Amino acid sequence: MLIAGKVSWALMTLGFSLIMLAILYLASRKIYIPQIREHPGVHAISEAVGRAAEMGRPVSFSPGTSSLYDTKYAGDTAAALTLLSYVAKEAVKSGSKLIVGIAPPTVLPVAQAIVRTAYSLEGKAEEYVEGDTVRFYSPDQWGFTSSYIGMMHRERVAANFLFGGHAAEALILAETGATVGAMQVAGSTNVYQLPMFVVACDYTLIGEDQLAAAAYLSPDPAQKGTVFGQDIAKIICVGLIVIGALLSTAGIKIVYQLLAS
Amino acid sequence: MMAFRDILRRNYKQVIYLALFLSLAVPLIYPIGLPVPIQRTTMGVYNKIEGLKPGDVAVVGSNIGAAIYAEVYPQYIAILEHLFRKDGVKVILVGHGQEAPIWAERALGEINAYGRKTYGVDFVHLGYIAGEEAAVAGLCRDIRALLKVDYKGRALADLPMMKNINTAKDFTIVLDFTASADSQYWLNQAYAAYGTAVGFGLTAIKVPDAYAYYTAGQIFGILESLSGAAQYEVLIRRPGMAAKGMDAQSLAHLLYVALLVLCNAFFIREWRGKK
Amino acid sequence: MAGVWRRIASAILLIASLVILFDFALRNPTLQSVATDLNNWAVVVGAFALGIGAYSLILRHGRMISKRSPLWPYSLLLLGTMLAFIVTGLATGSITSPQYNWIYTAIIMPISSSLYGMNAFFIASASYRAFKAKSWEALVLLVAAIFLMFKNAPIGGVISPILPQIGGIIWDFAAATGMRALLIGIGIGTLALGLRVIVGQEKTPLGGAE
Repeated sequence: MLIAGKVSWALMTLGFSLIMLAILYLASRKIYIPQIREHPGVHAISEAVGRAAEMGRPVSFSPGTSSLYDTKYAGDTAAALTLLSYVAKEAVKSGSKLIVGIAPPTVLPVAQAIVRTAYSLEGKAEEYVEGDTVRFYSPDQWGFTSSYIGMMHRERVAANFLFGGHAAEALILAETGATVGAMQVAGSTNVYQLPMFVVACDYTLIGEDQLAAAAYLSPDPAQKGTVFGQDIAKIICVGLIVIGALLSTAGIKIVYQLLAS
Repeated sequence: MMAFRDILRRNYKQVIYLALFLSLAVPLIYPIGLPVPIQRTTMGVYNKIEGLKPGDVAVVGSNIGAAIYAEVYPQYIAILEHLFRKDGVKVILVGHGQEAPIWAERALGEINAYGRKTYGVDFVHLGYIAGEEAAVAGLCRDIRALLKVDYKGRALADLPMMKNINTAKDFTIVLDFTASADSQYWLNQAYAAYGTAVGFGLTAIKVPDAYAYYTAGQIFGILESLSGAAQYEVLIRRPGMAAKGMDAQSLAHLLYVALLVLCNAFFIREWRGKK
Repeated sequence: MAGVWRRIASAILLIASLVILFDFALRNPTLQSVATDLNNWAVVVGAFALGIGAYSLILRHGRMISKRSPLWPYSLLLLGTMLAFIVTGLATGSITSPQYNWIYTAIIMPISSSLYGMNAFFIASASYRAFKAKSWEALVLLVAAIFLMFKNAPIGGVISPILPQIGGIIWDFAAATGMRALLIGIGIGTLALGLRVIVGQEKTPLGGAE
């Protein structure tokens, strides 16, 4: 019944899935909510928003050019939207103007709902401007980029947040933010763009740091459970790598054969 | 030296941009003729295509667009030229980006595909299929369930070469030309599911990702950006725009190294001054 | 009512996901047939999703033109250009016709490639501004970057054959290793997100918000 060569895949997927689902269940039922350590990036976000409030200039936010259905970066986009909720609340509290630039049209209604809710929760629903606070620019990567950098120059933003799945436009967005003098906090699991963010931004959440920061800030305990479940899966992978490397060095290829079966 | 440092400090962007423009433009007008060493990732692709036999099927996927064409299109042309030199090898072109058909038809025109081979017998262009990974999965599972016609609207059933090609099991190799995560789709759907040999033609920024798969033996080769295209042009003895661009790339890299050394030299000097 | 629809959507999502997952590992003709149909439906939905982008653009810029918002002439230019492409494509019947190719080469190619090419200039200025060896780790990164640049450009081998060799060693043993670790992390993260979507814990794909 099982296709040859897929046995280990099936077992590992099943094993990891059961572990993650168990922790997800425990976390969502609040039986066990893992503690996520406070990430320094969270302070950087607050600092950037505070700086923008002091300077009287806007805060800009981009949740990336990937959609929520993207195979690789959907997690990034979901984490970016959680961080958007936090940034929106901080911006409203501090009295800064928030501008959110959206590329994929499927993210637009979600981002609008998140920001509108943040304004309402702070009692400033009238300050949310339909079509202006959350702006849909273009589904095309370069259409979005040129619109976003134009906005940064025109509005002279003081804080710029680049989270989610950014591709080749990452450096252009970050460097433009540096040019206008914005304090920038970025995060991505896109390994090709992380060096660009590290070089051009004031603070970068590298890889899973972004997901962990989103889980830390999110009121949803299931997000914390997800991060913890991922950590357990990674520990298992590290164990397999170490044991497999040691055994392979000794000429015993059992781990390799098991994983290839 | 002080005046130069002051100029760099105040107008560093203008100076750098001018220097970079000159380092790119001058070698394009006055080529230097630097040698192009062949990397093993490029040889992997070359050897795989050289090893194809009559009746083998090569699927060439692409997500080439106007932004990345300068890096990836020369690779695409070189690979198609090599495939079209192989007698009896069937070539299927498919796009998973909206602009892909435009570049596919341009490439076919540049290599005179329609003049030297018979459409429908030696090669087929399926056009752009929306749906990202779902499209690639559909192609690998059952082409005829997904598509009834080719790019020009001709029924697949009327194309002789498509009679025996329906799933990824019928593909001998897949080569994908892209700058984004699309390459992952072929790995997931063709290699992982059916064991089809997969190779990539990528922009420089995607290469580190693909290299992990190459060292694990999951892909047979990578054409790395413009240099990969130049190497391939040398291998197939068809110099084109890639080979011309290597001198410019070399000088630009030299400029980057010089800038890094310079900025750190100034930094160390300032740091010592403060001490 | 919204809650009921979300539960129905979650149930459909769960069943479809399990069919595709099991089809990957199990050999069963019925399962394969159902999975193939589901996959092809996803392709059709993907084609319709292309239209959403155009619709959203027309809506936004149409509003900007009607309200005479700042920069509204650019919105008019955008919609006019979009219309030109659509009319040309429909009138000629193909995006590879000479007429469509002409406007594509005249408008899209210079703009897209210029924006992408800006990366080269921005990398230079960003590196000069920020890539300072303020610590030993930064120094190691800097030296590694220089060797890797010499590996990628033919001039490295011309200056000295050892430069690209050292770059190759760094590439094979450091860069690829780090990349592998990140890929494993991304894969596990993707699995985790997929599980959350399947069991209905992740509301955002179903249109929900925090």
